[in-house]
Amino acid sequence: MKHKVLEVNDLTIIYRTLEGNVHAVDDVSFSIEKGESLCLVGESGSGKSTIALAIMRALPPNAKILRGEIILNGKDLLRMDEKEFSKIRGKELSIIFQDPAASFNPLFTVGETISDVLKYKLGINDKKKIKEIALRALKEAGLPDVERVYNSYPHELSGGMLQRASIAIAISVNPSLLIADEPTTMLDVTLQAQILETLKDLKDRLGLSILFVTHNLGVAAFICDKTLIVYAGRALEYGSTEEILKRPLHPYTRKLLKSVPRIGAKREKLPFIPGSLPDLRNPPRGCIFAPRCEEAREICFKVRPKMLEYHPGHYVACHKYSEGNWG
Amino acid sequence: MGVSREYLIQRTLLLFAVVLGVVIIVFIITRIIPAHPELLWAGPHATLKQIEEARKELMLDKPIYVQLYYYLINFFKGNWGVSWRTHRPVFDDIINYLPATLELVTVAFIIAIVVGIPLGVLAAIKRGSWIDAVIRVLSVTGASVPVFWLAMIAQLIFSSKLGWLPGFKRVDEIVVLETGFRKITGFILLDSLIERNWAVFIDALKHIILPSLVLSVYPMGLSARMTRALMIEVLNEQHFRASIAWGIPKRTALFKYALKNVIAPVIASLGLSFGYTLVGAYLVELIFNWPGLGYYTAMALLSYDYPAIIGSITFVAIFYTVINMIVDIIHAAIDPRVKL
Repeated sequence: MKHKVLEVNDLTIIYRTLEGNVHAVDDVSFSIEKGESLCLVGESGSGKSTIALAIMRALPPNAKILRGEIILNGKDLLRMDEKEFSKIRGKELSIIFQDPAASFNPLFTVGETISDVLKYKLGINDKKKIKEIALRALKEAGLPDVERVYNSYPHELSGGMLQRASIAIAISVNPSLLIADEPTTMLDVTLQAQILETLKDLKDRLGLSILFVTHNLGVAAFICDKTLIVYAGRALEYGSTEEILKRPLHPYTRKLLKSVPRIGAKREKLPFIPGSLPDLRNPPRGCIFAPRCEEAREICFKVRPKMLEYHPGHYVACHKYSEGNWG
Repeated sequence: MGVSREYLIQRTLLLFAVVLGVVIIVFIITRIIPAHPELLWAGPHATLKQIEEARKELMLDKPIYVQLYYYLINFFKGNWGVSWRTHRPVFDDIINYLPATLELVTVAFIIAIVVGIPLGVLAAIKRGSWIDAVIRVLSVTGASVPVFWLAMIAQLIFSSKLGWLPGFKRVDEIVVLETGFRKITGFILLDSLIERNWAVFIDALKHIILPSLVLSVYPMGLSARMTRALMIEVLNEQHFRASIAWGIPKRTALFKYALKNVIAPVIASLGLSFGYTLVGAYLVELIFNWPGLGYYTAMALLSYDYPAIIGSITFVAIFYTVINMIVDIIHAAIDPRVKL
């Protein structure tokens, strides 16, 4: 068995609000092996970003982790004090964000930011050497004219260039795990493809493990070895991306795949999933998707389905696939 | 640094317009006041004839627009007139009294920045705690207490009652005479440092503590409040969270990265508050018998000394405009997005 870089087990997170506790993440488990990429796919409000934030230990103060463990290279991040975690943050664990323009302090050049990260994370004090590593990382991230980028302020660079610069920062420290929080959502389509291409290339060449957070199944298909479908804070389906795209099991996944527009298809109304996300302050007792599921039966509203391995390596949480329960 | 020539030309023209406007307005206001400044000029035991001659000499018998015309012509030639009270050129008087005020205001602003900004940062970091509450109450109080009241209370308590600090003047004349201290720039703290005259330096320091502290309360409260508000904003910015997530230590992220975003706007607002502080300085100078511009202007006002009034008010207007130009340039130096 390969070395597991990240293992998330039974993660359960709530947000405390004035109107009650919101069950943002409920009993989610997955793992990432070395050199592997996993996509957390879900719509807005599905809790996918909350999972990413929990791994970075950057949850807002009103969030509370009720249960579970997040194990990075054998160490549980949730049972670590701040001092210990600060050694891991930005070193074993790095991140690129959704909005590249907002990720850089406008008053500092890109070079200053990268240099500070390198200085503190790699413990190098030699300025020339730091710059050398920084320029190499920028080149690695696919930037032309790295010297100019290094000396530029964020407002002088485009969104795509800044996203490449943040990729450079993230990979310059050789992280065990890179978290990519919807890194292409804010970019236009041609740039999206280029950035994805770069990330894929880096993954293959450097053996980078990536946790990719996205709402876009197309992105998942392009870059991710494994996919975890999350809906309303629960994992519904988990397996290799290829399997999930070819043989989607969960009714939600199937609907999701159908609602992706296709070029060349007949011009007709795009199928959508009726209804909206359930109220997570009072989540339904049974299957979380049951209220919107066309195939739902009585049991779906009563008993919560467990994650079961339907095919080898392909898991699904749906009563339809557990014999005995389904009539 | 992005300061263009167009900016400097534009600002110089603006300065010119401001001066012209201020001179005209102040000139007209002083002439409208029903008073008899010729009596002051002619002296206490003047005959009627002498008074009449004084009126002619001061051109008070001419219509106001003629007076204004001659005043403006002389003004832009650098002749600001002769003070009717001191019988010296107004410009020389102002230059003579200026260092005392500048010294007072500079020390006050240094105190305000050095104390106010760290307090604001502390309040932002400890947001919602009792420390934050105390700092907020203090800064709101500081920005709203009238400075003349504070000056009198401070003088009463620390000088008259407790006797810890001197309550009048810039320096003790006896110390000056004993040590043979001589003025170079007129800034006593600076001059005594240059001459290594420690006795005068310490004495002057003691004298400046009370008035400068009193004067610093308003800009200190202002900068603490501004810093807190801006810092809270920056702490919620994605780039701050990104710098932490990328592994920059919290202290560096706070005091190198976040603070820089805060400094420029705080300095800008302090620059704008400069006018208010100068007015405060006038009141503080009067109360602490501080021989500065405020003291000079107050005396001029009390004795209808028209040229001195116009001269000192215009000077302050010029000063204020220049300060704001400097603030703009500092802002441009800190923020690469600002192009002047």
